[in-house]
Amino acid sequence: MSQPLAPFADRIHTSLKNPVLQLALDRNAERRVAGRNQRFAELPDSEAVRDRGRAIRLQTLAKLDQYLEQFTANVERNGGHVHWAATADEARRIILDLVRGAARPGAAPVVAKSKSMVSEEIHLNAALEQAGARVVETDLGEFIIQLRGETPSHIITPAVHLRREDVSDLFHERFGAPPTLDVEQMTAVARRELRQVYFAADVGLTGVNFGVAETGTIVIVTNEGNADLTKDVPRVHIALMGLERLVPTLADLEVMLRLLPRSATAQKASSYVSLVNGPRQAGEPDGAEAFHLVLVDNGRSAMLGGELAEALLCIRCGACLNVCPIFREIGGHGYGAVYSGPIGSVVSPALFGAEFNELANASTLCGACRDICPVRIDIPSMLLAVRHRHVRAGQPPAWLRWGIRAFALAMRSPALYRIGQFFAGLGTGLLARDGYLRWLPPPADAWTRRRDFPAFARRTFRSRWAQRRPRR
Amino acid sequence: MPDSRSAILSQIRQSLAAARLPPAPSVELPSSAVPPPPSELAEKFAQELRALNGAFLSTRQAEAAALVARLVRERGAGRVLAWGGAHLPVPGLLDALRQAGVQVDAGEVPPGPDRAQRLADLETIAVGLTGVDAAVAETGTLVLLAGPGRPRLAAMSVRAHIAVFTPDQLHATLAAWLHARPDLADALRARSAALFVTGPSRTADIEMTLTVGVHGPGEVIAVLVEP
Repeated sequence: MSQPLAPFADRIHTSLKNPVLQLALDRNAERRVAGRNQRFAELPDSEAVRDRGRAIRLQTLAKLDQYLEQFTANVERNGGHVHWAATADEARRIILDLVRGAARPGAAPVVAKSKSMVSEEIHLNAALEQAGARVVETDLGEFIIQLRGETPSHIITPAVHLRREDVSDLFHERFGAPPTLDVEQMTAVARRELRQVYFAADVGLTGVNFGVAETGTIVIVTNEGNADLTKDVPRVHIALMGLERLVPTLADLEVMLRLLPRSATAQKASSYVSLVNGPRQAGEPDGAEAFHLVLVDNGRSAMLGGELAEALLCIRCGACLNVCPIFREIGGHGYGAVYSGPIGSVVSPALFGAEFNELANASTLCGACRDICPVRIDIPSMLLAVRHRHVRAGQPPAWLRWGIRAFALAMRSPALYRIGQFFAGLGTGLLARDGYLRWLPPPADAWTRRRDFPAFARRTFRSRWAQRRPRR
Repeated sequence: MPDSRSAILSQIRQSLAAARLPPAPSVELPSSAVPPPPSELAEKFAQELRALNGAFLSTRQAEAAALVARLVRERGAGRVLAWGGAHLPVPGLLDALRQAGVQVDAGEVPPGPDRAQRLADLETIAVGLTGVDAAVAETGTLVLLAGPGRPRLAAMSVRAHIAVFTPDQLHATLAAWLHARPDLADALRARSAALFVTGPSRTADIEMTLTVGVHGPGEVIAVLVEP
């Protein structure tokens, strides 16, 4: 399905060596974080609103089974169909069947799609294309990266790694649009192309930001309005939802709507908040004629019982990405996982397994993610928990495992410690010039290639202390 | 598959039995204070919407039809995609438009083989005309519930969306509106959809450069009709 990933360290180096990406990530981080802080400063009782948001999400998870039953019963009462998918594979099969069923006889199905992280998680586009469907992403950023055959580099701004020149070249090549550096003109090209997609599509496929249990409503938040056309124009609307994304009531939804746009895009309100209750009802002039909700588990129900359960509070605003000093250097692609940044380094190992444990090492544990999270998820603690898993599973390289073991042994034994000090002082004394080591043999040259290392003192503190002590 | 439903729910129950979730903070948000007078609400609404490149106009009941007709004409539109007259707060508005030579399309898309063709035709209409269910001053937001006589595309497929509303529909915040409509959960269940529109369709996906009208309307014009 996807190409094998380069090792994490190589991915990091690729990101660091890309000057365009570095500039874009810096600009993104600075603007988003400053804007977000301003919006929260203006929001009355903002700290209480965050506490309330956290409480709503925690209370929902604590009774998730009951809220899911209430929610799905209401969706069905409103005339929607609910499909439960335990795994990614089951979700893909359900959607493929629905898409095939909606296609015009003898024609390849066309799917207009608005942004859905769950669809990335289950690698839906590849599966649909393999089955002969044409799938078109309608969010401008997603549209661009889909045309380029890439994956999103940021959950809110998927094409943050591209320059306007890249987009102009792409639109010129694919649609014969005249080359331009005017973003408005490029956007007009996308509007023209995507209008044709909405009106040709058999199925509109959207994600879900929130589900409201008391009414059976799904809520989709965008600035572009692409989700609205995606769900209202084609005959069939399929919504893809992670099963943890519920809130109990409309009043709770209102609290989350104060937090999400401020955290995600530094806006008081997103341009479009769409509430979907089901298919078009008798007497209504337009809208989809069938509504299918696909509820995806894919590891969430098991995650709920583990030490990483708190990460299920996440509302996918991306604020922790913007504020993270590591994300700011390596970007979404560096992580090599659908969910990147601090929260991705917890969610990815929790949902997709131990091969993503190493992402948790890419953190300074500075805590900025916890401070900015609208629902105050304690991400640093969970990063530590993932690091423990990494070690317990024997995943760190051998030199590190043995090195730490040797270190631990020396730290527990005064005799070994003293011997270690003696050799460290002797060795670094021989190699150092002016008190600093400028070169060390491999693998220690990983340090000295970029930094000097101070030499150990020739005489240890303990020996000096022994001498200074007044003798009786 | 019913199997997956029960398997998922039973896994959730098993996980919750081992629950390791932190306790929820107990906090009640202060309920909204005394609402400011309507004139202040209108001013705040206008300020917020304009900050988002939206337009705000206010007019009197008697002049409203002429104003809307002028807005339509200025956009060179011979047709509008409009909510039914019963859902607009200005009596006779659609008739006035027709008299001004504007065709009014109710946006009916009958199910069946002609659906695609009908939609393609509606897509060519440049101006949409709607009422609102509420207008939120804090954010410059228009709330539109779908329903009979209320085509959703009137706020989405067009280039300019004109929304007509009255001062009593203005609320300080979304929370205040929810508070004023305790029946909303029931009302919503009877509709298939609702939309909160805050300014024109916008994107910043190319180099974080703000651009309007990417999919939905590039123009949102809110018209407040005073009695």
